[in-house]
Amino acid sequence: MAKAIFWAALTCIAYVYVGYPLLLVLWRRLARRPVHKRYQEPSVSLVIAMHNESRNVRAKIQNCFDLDYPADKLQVIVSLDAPTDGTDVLVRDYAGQGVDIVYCPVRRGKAEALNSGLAMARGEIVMFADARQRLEKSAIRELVANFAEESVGAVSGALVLLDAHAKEATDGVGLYWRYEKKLRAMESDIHSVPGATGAIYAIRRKLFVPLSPGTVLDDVVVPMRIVLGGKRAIFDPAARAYGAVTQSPDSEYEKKLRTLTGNYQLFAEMPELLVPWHNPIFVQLISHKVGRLIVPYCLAAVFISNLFLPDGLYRIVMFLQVTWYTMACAGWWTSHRGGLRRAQLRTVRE
Amino acid sequence: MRKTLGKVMLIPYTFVLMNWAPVAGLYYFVRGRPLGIWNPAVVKDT
Repeated sequence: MAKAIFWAALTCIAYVYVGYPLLLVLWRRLARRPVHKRYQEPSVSLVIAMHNESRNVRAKIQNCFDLDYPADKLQVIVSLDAPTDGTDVLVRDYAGQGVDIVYCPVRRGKAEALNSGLAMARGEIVMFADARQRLEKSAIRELVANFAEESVGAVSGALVLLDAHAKEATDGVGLYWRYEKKLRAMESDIHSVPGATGAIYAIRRKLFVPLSPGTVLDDVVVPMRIVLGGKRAIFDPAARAYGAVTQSPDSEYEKKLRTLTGNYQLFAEMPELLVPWHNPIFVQLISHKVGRLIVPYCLAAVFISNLFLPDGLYRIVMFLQVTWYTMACAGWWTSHRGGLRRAQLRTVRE
Repeated sequence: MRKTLGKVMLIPYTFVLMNWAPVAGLYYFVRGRPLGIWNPAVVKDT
């Protein structure tokens, strides 16, 4: 029994991190569906939802003005969700310069802010961006070129994480992002990605369905609805946004926690995603999203079942696991050492 | 050397933390406390 649990859990972990990418490599070779881009200039509405962004708002709007796209075809919409740090005052300076402002004095959340912004949109294509990431000059051109193909309903750009030296981050989170982008590129070549990048993605406006209040992952719900509706949601790494890599595992944890909570919400609100004959990217969604939710339980199963398997190979695996988790504890101590020391000093002073 | 060792130790720590997130996320979801970016029901302001 313990052996069966051990191997089943280990197989599941191996499939999520190794088997699935290999499956994608093979699948792409057999059934690649490339999108033929054609550069064009349809009208675009760029929607940015903000709450308290007084530190970023000026740079963000200037970034929008600097984009390589005809001003008469680009509508910038800033949807303000009850800011309390003066973001609204700063945005109003741009009201006469082609920025449309939606202001809500009562805090309703990002999903509602996006709905309000969309209600004002006039463009054939709607692009979404976050306040904190900088868009590359050619970002809109690259995104909209994909809509030349009628089957494409949504296009996600790539978020490039930069380190302190303004180079693409290569450690920890940066590496994880590179792996993630490779997966998305392969999924996109086959059919669609199960989720876009919130910092840069675009859809055909006619396909937008207002988000439910409290939606956590608009960048997954919006493209997945489009995929269920029969269109493709693709990934184009040529359309880029730049952001700073998080400096500590704890701040990345906060982001991850939000994303994964959003995934549970996604499956509860859109159960049809889990029905193979309704969802054309069922395998991708299960392997990519559901798999990541299951892995921690598999890790626990591997550890616990290993306790009942003391012989040969299993003893080595147990040793490796104990070493790994001991190192994790040491990593926690290293990461929090500064904070612990400060807390001790405070206690001594008091 | 100590710095490199510290960085190496962060890899398993990050791995464990990232795998703890789905468990904590399920807890928040079941308790009806979704962590929106700035949702009114937000647990921690970002």
